[in-house]
Amino acid sequence: MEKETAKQIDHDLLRQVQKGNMVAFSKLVDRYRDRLMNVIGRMLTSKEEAEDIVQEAFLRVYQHRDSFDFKHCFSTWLYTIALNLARNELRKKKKYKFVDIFDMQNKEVETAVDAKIPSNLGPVLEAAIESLPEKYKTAFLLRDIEEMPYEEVARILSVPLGTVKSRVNRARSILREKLKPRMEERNALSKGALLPVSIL
Amino acid sequence: MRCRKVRSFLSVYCREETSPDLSAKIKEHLSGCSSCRREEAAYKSMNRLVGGIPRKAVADDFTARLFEKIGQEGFAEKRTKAYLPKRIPRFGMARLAAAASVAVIVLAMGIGLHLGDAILAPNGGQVTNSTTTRMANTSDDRYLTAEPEDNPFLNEHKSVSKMVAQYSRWREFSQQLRDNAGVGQMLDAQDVAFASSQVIGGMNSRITVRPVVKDYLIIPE
Repeated sequence: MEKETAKQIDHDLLRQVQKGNMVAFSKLVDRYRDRLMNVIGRMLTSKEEAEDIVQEAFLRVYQHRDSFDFKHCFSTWLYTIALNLARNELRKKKKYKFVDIFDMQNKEVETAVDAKIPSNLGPVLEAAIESLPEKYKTAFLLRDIEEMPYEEVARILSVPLGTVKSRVNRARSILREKLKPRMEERNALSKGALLPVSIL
Repeated sequence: MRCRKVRSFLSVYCREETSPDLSAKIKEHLSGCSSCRREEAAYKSMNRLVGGIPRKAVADDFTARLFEKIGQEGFAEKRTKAYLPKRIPRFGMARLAAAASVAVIVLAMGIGLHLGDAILAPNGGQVTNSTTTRMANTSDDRYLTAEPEDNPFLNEHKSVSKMVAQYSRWREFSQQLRDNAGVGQMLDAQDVAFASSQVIGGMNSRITVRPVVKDYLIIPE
């Protein structure tokens, strides 16, 4: 019911946009910009590039607003555009791997911190998600981070439902394996096997 | 159920995505297997971590920058429409046929002009009237060497544009004859209906064929 309401709201706003109502377009942007950024921002390393992709996605939505088929979900359409743009960007960068030294240094510090105090698994999990293969990562981000239904994820990625479930499951297993050593260290700490550095 | 099979379903089980029957079987196995219970706890812990990941967000001025971009795109689109299209329309068979018919007609015009000269000077080139003498002596051959105007679209299609230019010169020439000649014998030396081609510029460029009224040459007696 909630999903139907959200879909209806999106369609009503888009109809207004088709009539030239820019306030309605602004509302549509506000509804989806952070959600899109949460997915695209984890696919690309640079925040600026991710914002550019999200902007380009909304720009294309505006340019092709009259061609939208109201039989479909607006969110599916928007995410499809954004993910295709992100994939194109990743493909372009595949030949030349750009690594931000500042980011690397920050991650090294975080890793060092985690090694001493493994209770802080958040950054470790984020790094693990970033390291996932692209097809598993996309499915995982849409399903577990954005909490989209499997059916919608399948429509966005244009793959069968079973494939989506398989990819999500595989992503979770990979993350579990990557987090396992850290979690075991944390468990050992909590049982008093190691003293935390801050207490000394 | 064996541990290996249970563990393959654990990630889905911990998210409550399994069917009731499968959930019951997994639960039964877990009640008796500490190793799988530890694995279940690990998955639940990971799910809590995933739920607590800080969400990424766009910058505060994102919407303002987006609208600025939309405005710029709209301006660029309007500006582009003001110019000729980049893609030169290709000539299909119909257009080739129209161009071929224009070529035939221009040839006919050339022949007709030659005949017109003969008519203007019926006495083997000797004219008796000062006006016709003037006309005969002021023959305008410019149409023969007419060049297309400096139009990028026309320049791409020189054969058609040349025909258009030649036709324009011929019209000018016949107008001169009309202006110079007085009232006299009506002579339709160009007693042929002919077609002209005209380029229509803009977004919907295409070649059209229009009929043109016959022209009559009036010469003094």
